[in-house]
Amino acid sequence: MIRHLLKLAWHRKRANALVIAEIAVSFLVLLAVTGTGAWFAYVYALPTGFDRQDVWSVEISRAGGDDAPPSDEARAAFSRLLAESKTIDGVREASLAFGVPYDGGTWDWEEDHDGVKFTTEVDRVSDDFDKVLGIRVVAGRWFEPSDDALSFAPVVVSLATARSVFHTDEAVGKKFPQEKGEPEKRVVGIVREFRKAGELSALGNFTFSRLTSTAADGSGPRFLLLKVGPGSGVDVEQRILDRVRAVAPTWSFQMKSLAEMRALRFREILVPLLVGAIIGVFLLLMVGMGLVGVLWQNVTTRTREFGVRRAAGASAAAVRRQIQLEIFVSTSVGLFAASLLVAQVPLLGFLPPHFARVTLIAFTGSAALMYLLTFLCAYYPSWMATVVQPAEALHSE
Amino acid sequence: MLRSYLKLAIKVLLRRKFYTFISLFGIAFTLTVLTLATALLDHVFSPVPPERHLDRILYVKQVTLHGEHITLRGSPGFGFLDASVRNLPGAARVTICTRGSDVVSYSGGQKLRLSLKRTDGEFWKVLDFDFLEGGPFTVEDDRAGNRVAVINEATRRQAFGGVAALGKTIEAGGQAFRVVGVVKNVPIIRDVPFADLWVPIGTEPSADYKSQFSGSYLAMILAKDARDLPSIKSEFDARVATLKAPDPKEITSIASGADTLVETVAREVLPGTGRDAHGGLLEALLVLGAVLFMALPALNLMNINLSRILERASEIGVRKAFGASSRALVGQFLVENVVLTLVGGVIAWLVSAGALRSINLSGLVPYADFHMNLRILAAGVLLALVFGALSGIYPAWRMSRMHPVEALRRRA
Amino acid sequence: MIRLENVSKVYRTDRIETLALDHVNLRVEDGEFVSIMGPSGCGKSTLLNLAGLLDAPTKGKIAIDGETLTSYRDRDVASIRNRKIGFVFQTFHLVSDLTVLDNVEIPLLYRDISGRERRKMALAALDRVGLSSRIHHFPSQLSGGQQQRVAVARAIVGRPRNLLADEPTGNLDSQMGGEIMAILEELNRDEKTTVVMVTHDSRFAERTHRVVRLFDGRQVM
Repeated sequence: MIRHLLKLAWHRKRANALVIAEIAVSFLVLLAVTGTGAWFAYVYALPTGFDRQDVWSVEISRAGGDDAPPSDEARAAFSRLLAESKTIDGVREASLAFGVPYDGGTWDWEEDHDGVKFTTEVDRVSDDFDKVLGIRVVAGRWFEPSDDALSFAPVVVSLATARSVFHTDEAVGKKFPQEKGEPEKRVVGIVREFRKAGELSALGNFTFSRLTSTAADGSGPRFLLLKVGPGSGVDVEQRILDRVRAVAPTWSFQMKSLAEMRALRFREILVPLLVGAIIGVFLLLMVGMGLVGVLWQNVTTRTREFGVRRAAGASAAAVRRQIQLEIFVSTSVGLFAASLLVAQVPLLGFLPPHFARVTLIAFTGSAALMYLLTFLCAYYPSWMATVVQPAEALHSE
Repeated sequence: MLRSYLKLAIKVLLRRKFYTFISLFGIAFTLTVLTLATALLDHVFSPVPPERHLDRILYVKQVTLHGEHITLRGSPGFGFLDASVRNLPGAARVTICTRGSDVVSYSGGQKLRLSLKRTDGEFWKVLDFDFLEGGPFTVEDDRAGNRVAVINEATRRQAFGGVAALGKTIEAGGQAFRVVGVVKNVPIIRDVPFADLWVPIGTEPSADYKSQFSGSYLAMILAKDARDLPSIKSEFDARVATLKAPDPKEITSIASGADTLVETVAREVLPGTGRDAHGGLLEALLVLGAVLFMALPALNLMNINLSRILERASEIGVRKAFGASSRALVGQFLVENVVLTLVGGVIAWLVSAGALRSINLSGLVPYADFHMNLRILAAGVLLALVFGALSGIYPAWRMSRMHPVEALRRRA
Repeated sequence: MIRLENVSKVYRTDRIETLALDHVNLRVEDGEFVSIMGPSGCGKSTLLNLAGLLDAPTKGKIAIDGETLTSYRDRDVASIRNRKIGFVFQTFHLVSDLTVLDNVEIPLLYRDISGRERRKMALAALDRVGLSSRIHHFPSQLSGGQQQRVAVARAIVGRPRNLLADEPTGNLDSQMGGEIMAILEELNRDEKTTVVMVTHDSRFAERTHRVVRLFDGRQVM
């Protein structure tokens, strides 16, 4: 029977082409949306490596703009800001940093030389950064003030970075691979993981470098990160702002809790996903409409064929099943064509690791939904095709 | 004649309720999406107070600084605007102001998140705000750097409980301001005039902004007459070509443009950093987008219409055999199609109106004031007719070409 | 064997009732070749449709091969149509999107047999009607006579005991009609298939064992 229907479908390909195309496109969109949703759901459950509770960030904008390296006065002001913050009532820990969790920015180091090739996300932070965010070191140590005297630049890396760069968990003391002529960097500590962009971010490498008050290169830190006591309210906020403004009256400061910043970033990610889902729904509706149209054409132009089949002994149920099977075949062709298209794109390079698990879920879920949709659309027209007696269907008087 | 067509059309549509329902659903859904999109565009681009004289306003919102090593594309700085937009021939007034920035206001133990804009005195003369209390600050206030502010209704409610706010003090971003005026809320989608509170540029904490070519400012040029716009644009371009950046070693050329509102969006959205913003291209793309969006549903609807015709093939054949002209039959079919599309359009209209009202109420878009108007109604009717035509022409053509014999042979 | 006892058929539309058959009796024994004749609209096609279980009678009883039908529910009737009856139509009713071979296979799809077995039986049926050389053609590529032969092959592929033909030569010229008639006679003679044929052509009717005449839905002879 299947072979018979395949032959029938093949000879009818032109009539079915539009619906098959619509099914293929809808499936692709559905796959993208469910795949992305499933990926986020999977990744959300993984730990971030820091504790965002009761952590506030103060974004610092210097008067002359933030692109130029900080002048001596600016660097002195940064040191004073850090020192002052630690004395504010309600602030438990303070640190300066280039970037903070959920800030929406990224900074990467890329190494591609001497057979070494990797990328790592980076942040330059001061010595108390780990205390503010509750980051725990699993091997070695975090940065210390005595590091000022070191002959090399210390770095702290995540476990994933240690494994991908040094191929071992015991990376403390090893030299960070660099181009010749660059100042030497060595690993002094390893943390379990650090995902700066939070629960919805991709999984990758992370490296911390040390922020010193004497560093004269690059731009200055842009954030003051503070750990406050639980339940701190508007009064603590105002106090902090008053004190920092007193240190640098011509600079501007914007304070947000990490929770707020997280909500903002989530919205940025989830809104496009929502838009994608809406487009997916629209396409599914179109497929439904298209199917109903095609099937109605089937019913009206093939009544005699169905009548003949019933005269030859097919029950009404068998004819309905035939129509459903034909739709199943069309859907399968559409899904197959779409899958071929997806397979063409060399996604393996772009996709984050661990994606295979998620892909399977998204794929089977989307395919099941498409089959369900097409089955539902075929239901009424297939009933219509067999509601009359064969004699009436064949009536040619 | 038309009435009999109409009666027959309704009878035919009711005979096949399921398929009529499906078609209606598809039409209503498509037209709803298109109507909502039209409403959004209308609210972004139509001349609504405070941008009452939209046809005479040019905006400078973007500048591109090219250098050997870098290309910086972003909002202009005060320094650039000050040097480029003043005293352009044909301009009645010019104003420079900042983009909105988020600040926190600690007022009376409460924490408010507000959008703050710094403007000059001319801002209030270029735009037409609706003052509920007091009035705007002046050019002198700006020059003196007075700490005065105009707030909107919502801020008055949040900070002062809705009572008269004139003379009261409001704190924002570490500075304290005295309220001199209260205005009606401006919807956020009009992003140039929008803010929660407006203060003079002179209150900037540091004077560094005056020389910057890159910053967070924008300018509005109000022309004396709408016909002067092209000449103002070219004057502006000529002026910009003569300017030198503050760091001429880094920046070798500057590009910018004085744009109409549509052109500012085109400049933002379409690639290219040249002098011309391609406003016409944006409009063409929007129309193309609408047609493409309609294409798929129209195609599906066409299939359904085709089935409707094929199902009645024998009836059509008999009528033709008895002398009915193709024109009469096609006319009948088109009436059916138009009835269906218009009913779908009406449904789309009602759903859109409801959707806009709930968007207004939900607060998703701050101070939104979406509502339907005649322009949107006209657009809706046009869309419905285009949609009906797209989905009806091919089936109508098939029907007119049907030979009586072939039609009769199909099914008795 | 086909037996219709006191069978009546009434067609009801919104406002009109038409009595197509009025207490008709038909009894065809195994191996008989019977023709049904009568003027247009006298109900002969209706009678044949009832005999072929393509429609249900309003009153009366029908028995096929000794089995009386107690219900005309689709699932009960379909199996009988499949195993015991083959139908040939005036307008052939071939599926234009399928080849000749696939068309002939259709009745066998609704039986529990393998694809290979199906193919064998279809080839045998096509050989029986002399169309072995055209099995991969499409109906549109065949003449009227050839198409009707395909239809006959389809009707006999399942080896039913009864063959019903509704004006099988009506759309064919006299030569092709004669060929079809010859095939029907062969089937009746060689396989002992019971054949009931509705026809307008008295020359063909004369070649059958018996002629049943209808007038206004009632049996005349």
